[in-house]
Amino acid sequence: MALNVLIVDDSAVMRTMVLRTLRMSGVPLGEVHEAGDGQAGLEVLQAHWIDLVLLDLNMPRMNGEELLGEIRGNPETAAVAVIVVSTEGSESRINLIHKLGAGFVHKPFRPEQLRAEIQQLTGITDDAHETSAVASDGGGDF
Amino acid sequence: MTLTKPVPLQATAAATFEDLALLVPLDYLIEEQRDIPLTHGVVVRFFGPMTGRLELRVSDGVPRAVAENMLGLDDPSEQLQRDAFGELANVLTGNLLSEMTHAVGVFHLRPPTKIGPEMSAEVPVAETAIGLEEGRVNVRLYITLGG
Repeated sequence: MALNVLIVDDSAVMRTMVLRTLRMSGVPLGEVHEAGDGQAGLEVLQAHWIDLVLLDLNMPRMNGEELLGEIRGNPETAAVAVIVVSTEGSESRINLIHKLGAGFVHKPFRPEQLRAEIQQLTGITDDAHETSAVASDGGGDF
Repeated sequence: MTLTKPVPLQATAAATFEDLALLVPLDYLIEEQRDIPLTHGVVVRFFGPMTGRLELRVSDGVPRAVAENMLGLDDPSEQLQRDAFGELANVLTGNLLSEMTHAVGVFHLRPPTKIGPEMSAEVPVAETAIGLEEGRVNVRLYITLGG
């Protein structure tokens, strides 16, 4: 199963880097959407089917925690897998993220860390990765 | 301001350059690196249990190498070089504050802002230099409240 992914980060460089790492992780990807803040991310979620959200915390307009609250508060998106990708170090804030059913990956991060977190949240298996890597002609070169 | 505990600036800066930008740091400067001029600078201001700023300055060539490695591009634009360099400073600041406060307390970081290469006379609470194959790095930490 290919995952439709939404990357929400106010830094275009970090969005590119997250996507690059995601591709290296070998996770099968479908559509990839990007948003520069929580509000824009919410609009993407309302317009497209998204399986996985990779979410920064500190952003203008609507931050990552607020977007996570909106996702969990809407029955249509409550079950979407969310991974927070941040430099955040506060244990209380990370615990809150986990309580809201989201994963957490600390920046900087490696492809295998991202893959492990995605596997845990989505249940996607290594078999699916391998199948995808073959099918995508080297797209997943991890 | 003087802090009561040592600041893990050297280790955190070296780890950030290595993990995020895939640049292998030396924790000292070799003779030829000492006089390389610092040409690019960025500041990240933070607020929370401590208030202050982190200033990161590097020599010519480092922002390009950072952008190339972070983004996997052969010829990143100057804008991408600035953005990648700023993002590295942002990650370095976040990780340093987390190390310093042992993951207690929430910090708010302002977006990275370009500064000049010249350093002020103000004395930082911590400063470190890192040597890279691509040039040299100087990091200064200033804390004005808390700590």
